Amino acid sequence: MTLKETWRSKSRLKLALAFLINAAFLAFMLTCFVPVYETNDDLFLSKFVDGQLSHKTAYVPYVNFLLGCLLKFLYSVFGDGFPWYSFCQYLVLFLSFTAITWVLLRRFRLFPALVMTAVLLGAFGTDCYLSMNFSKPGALGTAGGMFLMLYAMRNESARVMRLPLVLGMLLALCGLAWRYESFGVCALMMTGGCLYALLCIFAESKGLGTRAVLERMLRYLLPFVLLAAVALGLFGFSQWMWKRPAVKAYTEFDTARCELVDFELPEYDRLRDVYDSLGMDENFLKIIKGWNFYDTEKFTKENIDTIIQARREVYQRKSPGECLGLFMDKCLAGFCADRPFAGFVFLLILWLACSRRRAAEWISVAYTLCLFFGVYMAFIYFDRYLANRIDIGIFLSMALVISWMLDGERLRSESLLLLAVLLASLFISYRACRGVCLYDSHNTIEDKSSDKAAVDTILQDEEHLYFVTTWSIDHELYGPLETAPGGYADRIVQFGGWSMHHPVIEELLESYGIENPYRDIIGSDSIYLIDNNIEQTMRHINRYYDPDAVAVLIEPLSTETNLKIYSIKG
Amino acid sequence: MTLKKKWNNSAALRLLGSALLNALVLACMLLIVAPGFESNDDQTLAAFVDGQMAVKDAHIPYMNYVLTNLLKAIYTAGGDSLPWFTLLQYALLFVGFTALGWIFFERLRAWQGALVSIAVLVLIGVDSYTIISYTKTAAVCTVCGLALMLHAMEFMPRGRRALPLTAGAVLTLFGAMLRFMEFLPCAALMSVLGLRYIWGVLAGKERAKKAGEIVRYILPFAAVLLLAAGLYAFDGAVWSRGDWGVYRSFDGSRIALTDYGVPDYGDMPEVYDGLGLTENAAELLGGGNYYDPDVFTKETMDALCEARDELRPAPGLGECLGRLLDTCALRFFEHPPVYLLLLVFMLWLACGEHDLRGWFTFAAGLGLFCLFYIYLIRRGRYLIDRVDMGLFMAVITVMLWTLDKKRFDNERVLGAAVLAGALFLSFWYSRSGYRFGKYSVLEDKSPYKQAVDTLLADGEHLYLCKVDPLDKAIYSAFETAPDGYWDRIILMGGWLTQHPHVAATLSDYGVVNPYRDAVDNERVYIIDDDIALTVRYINEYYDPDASAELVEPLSEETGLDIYRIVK
Repeated sequence: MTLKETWRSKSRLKLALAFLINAAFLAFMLTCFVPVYETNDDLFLSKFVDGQLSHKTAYVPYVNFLLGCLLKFLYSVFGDGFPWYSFCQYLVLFLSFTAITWVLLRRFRLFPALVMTAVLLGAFGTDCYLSMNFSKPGALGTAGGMFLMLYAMRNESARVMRLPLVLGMLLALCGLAWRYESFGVCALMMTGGCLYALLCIFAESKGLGTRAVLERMLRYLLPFVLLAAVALGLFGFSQWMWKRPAVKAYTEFDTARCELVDFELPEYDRLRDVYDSLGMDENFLKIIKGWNFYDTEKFTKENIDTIIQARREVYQRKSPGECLGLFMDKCLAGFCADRPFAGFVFLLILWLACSRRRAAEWISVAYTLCLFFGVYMAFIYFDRYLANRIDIGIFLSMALVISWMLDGERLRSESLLLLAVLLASLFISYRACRGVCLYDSHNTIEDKSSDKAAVDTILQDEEHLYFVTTWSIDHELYGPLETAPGGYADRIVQFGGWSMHHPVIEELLESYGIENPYRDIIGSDSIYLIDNNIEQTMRHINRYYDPDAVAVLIEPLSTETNLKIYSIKG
Repeated sequence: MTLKKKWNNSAALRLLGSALLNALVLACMLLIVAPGFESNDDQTLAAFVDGQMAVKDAHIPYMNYVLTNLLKAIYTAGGDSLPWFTLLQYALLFVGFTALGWIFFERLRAWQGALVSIAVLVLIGVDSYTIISYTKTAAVCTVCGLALMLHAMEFMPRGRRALPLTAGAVLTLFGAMLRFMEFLPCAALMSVLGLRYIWGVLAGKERAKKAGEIVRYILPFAAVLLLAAGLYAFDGAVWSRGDWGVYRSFDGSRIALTDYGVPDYGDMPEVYDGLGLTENAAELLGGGNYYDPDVFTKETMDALCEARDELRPAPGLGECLGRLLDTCALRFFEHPPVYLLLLVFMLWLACGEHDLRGWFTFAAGLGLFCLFYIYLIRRGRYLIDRVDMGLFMAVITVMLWTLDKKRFDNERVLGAAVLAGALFLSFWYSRSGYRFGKYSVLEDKSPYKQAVDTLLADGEHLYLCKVDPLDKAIYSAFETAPDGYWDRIILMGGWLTQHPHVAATLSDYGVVNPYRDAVDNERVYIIDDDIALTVRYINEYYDPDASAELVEPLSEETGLDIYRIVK
């Protein structure tokens, strides 16, 4: 048997190659580039389980409770020395890309499949592996899992492949566990693939009765319905857990906080009466915008609800015309600056050149593009657009749906196009990554060792609790392959942010006798404040809590750590 | 004979079809969109012959002297009440787009040709017809003229080539005469189609016949290129004589300095001080108000240019490529031609020639475009719509050339999608120029026109105007500026600084140096939006006691800040 024949007949060989390609790519990424977290979100999430807090909890905000349990279990059993949090993200990403590569290798000849894999890894893989965020495994798991399911249900063997189907479903559920919003959007976008399959079934069922056609269609849809049902169950369970008495108050508060600060906070002059009635001045609004809102008397759920209500009355939502204007004038150019968009465009180029473009293809592509347009208009309407970590899942899902409609025979005759796409994709990926490439003179990798040494110095001081205002310490100090020092979050507490009112944080503050950080920091010898904008903080404290309070710079600690560390004297 | 058969058999019918389609789209455009000029360039050019100056003169900068003489003759014969310059550009655009449409009808099926023509007209035509610029007209003439010649040489039998070949050559030469520097890159980009043809010859025929056929093919293009070069040389010779030569030399230095960024005084104070230029002088220079022949001389401009180039050396190749990819690729999306390029690229992917020759054509077109653009970035003059449009149009034409009508036949849905996309994008990007609707941002310019009429009614004074205070787009493309406008209102900077004709007008009022001779001159007023700067400058250079006095009630009546400079 020749190698070619072996290749065609052995499915495991393709799986092995898919695994090898992705393993080699991941190894290349991790050795030649420096992965970072896209935002500070992940360090804040992982602190609940990775030893930054001595009291580990499975109540990790925004990720599914079951995943929180798993992470807590891994850290508890295997210790805090290994970054299990990012490992779990890498695992989902790696499995998703491997699944996608395997399907491509099975569906197309080697060269086109390799080119498409290179395009997807170049556009999406580099972004996910090097600029991590918990939304990305959410999106990748969903898209990769559903892609596997689509293939398992309709493939060249004309029978359902059970193992890939189950694995695909599990992968998609992993996506859900990381972020259900990403799951929802990606699953919606992947319905284009389901629609295409249904249209193909319809086209193939000529001569059959309506009932038979419907049966075939329903049989095809069944696993996807099952996936939706299980996902709904998992989501419901997690939501239920977050409504248990121990965390209910936090959940309600945090939901209100998200609604307020994730969208535009009205300027003081726009809602002067409301703010005045709530006892909030212009300075406090700046504090809120800076995410340093841990003032439990001012930033209460009731006050937040009142502002949200007033905002609804004052601010008119964008009209559809305005949304369209933003889409055309801002988003299109914004997409072009985004590397995942290039991945989608390359697949679209291949589709234009190498698809049969029958009615089923046209309907599915039109449906996918319309869905994208609709989803994006909604994003613009809710002011949450051009966020790479969200868009990446949408573009990947669209790229995968489009790859579903490529014609293998036509791809064979387009070697030059494939070569051009490959080269362009490699060029774009390289340009996008060179800022974090260890061997490129253009890299902008920072040496953060002095900042880390400063944190170590602070952690050696066992007598004080340190509050830190946003970005007064680099919140992206530790990358995905590192672990933050044990006890970091026990000793350095954010002056606001996501974790405000989280039961574990509340418990921690209670142990220091703190109810309201802004109030109780005054005159306390055991509390320090790390603050880059102390004037703003003092204005608030002087106005609302102690007109005579002053901030005293702690030396030589401030000089040693190069941080602005203060004690607030009453 | 059915219409379809007649259509297939008659080139004249296809030409008529193309002309009618163009006329229809043009009529719709003019009904919906208010045409205007992209910049004040065209009106300034026309001023020499359209009656804004009492003595008509064919020495119009940047356009070829042969063409400007033609324009002068038209205005002299036809009178100043019609905007002949605009009409000439419309005629050239119409002929150009009709020729291009005819080629599509010849090469593709009727519906395919119509689809492509409409897409070109609504995305590039609208830009050319309603945001007029002689640079764009030059580009359309060059691209369409050369396309006509290429089509004649490649696809028409020898006996029937003469007319399209001649028409194409004439159109191309109009392009060269309108703006030679736009003609050159457009022609270079179109040459890819010539190379494509030569590729075909080299691949297909016997060796003995190849050389002959290639020479025969190249000959008409070489002739046109020679003629264009001759016209350019003739123009250069005309402009090198006497005062015109002095002006041209000064203007060359002025362009080299002002078109590529005048450094602020703070960037190189030693250089400015060394040249005797104060901070106020540098500010006037940066604002384009440099009509001071004693201070802003050619030598000064050259020295500043040299110092600037030392201060800011041209970007390296890698940096240029970076700017092309990071800045330009995004900013291209602010204008419609790039969308047509994308739509045509979609068509090319679906039904273009994808053999080696097709790929060569595509890659050479795109590669040359990138090379030109990198050159423009290196020179520091890029992202200028009127220049880019021609380059895009040339690349688009190159890509359209390789469409295969048989493959196109299977792409009706894609064709419909492309057409719908083109229409929507055209609407989107021209909606601010609509005559109606909530997106229209058209202004009522009648108060400005009235102000100009008031100034012109004053027969006693010369008005020296800074570059900014008077809206330069007062008159639309189909209006004519009032007679004598440029005899009475002279800019204190801009292109025409030290133009002999303008200098002669100034001397009638005893002015040689506007900044110096405006002082205590009862016949001269200054229209100025920053009189404090002007007075500071005059105090520094000419008269420490000079001050400005607002002329009332004229200023209030016209809404302009009009001053007299007194001691």
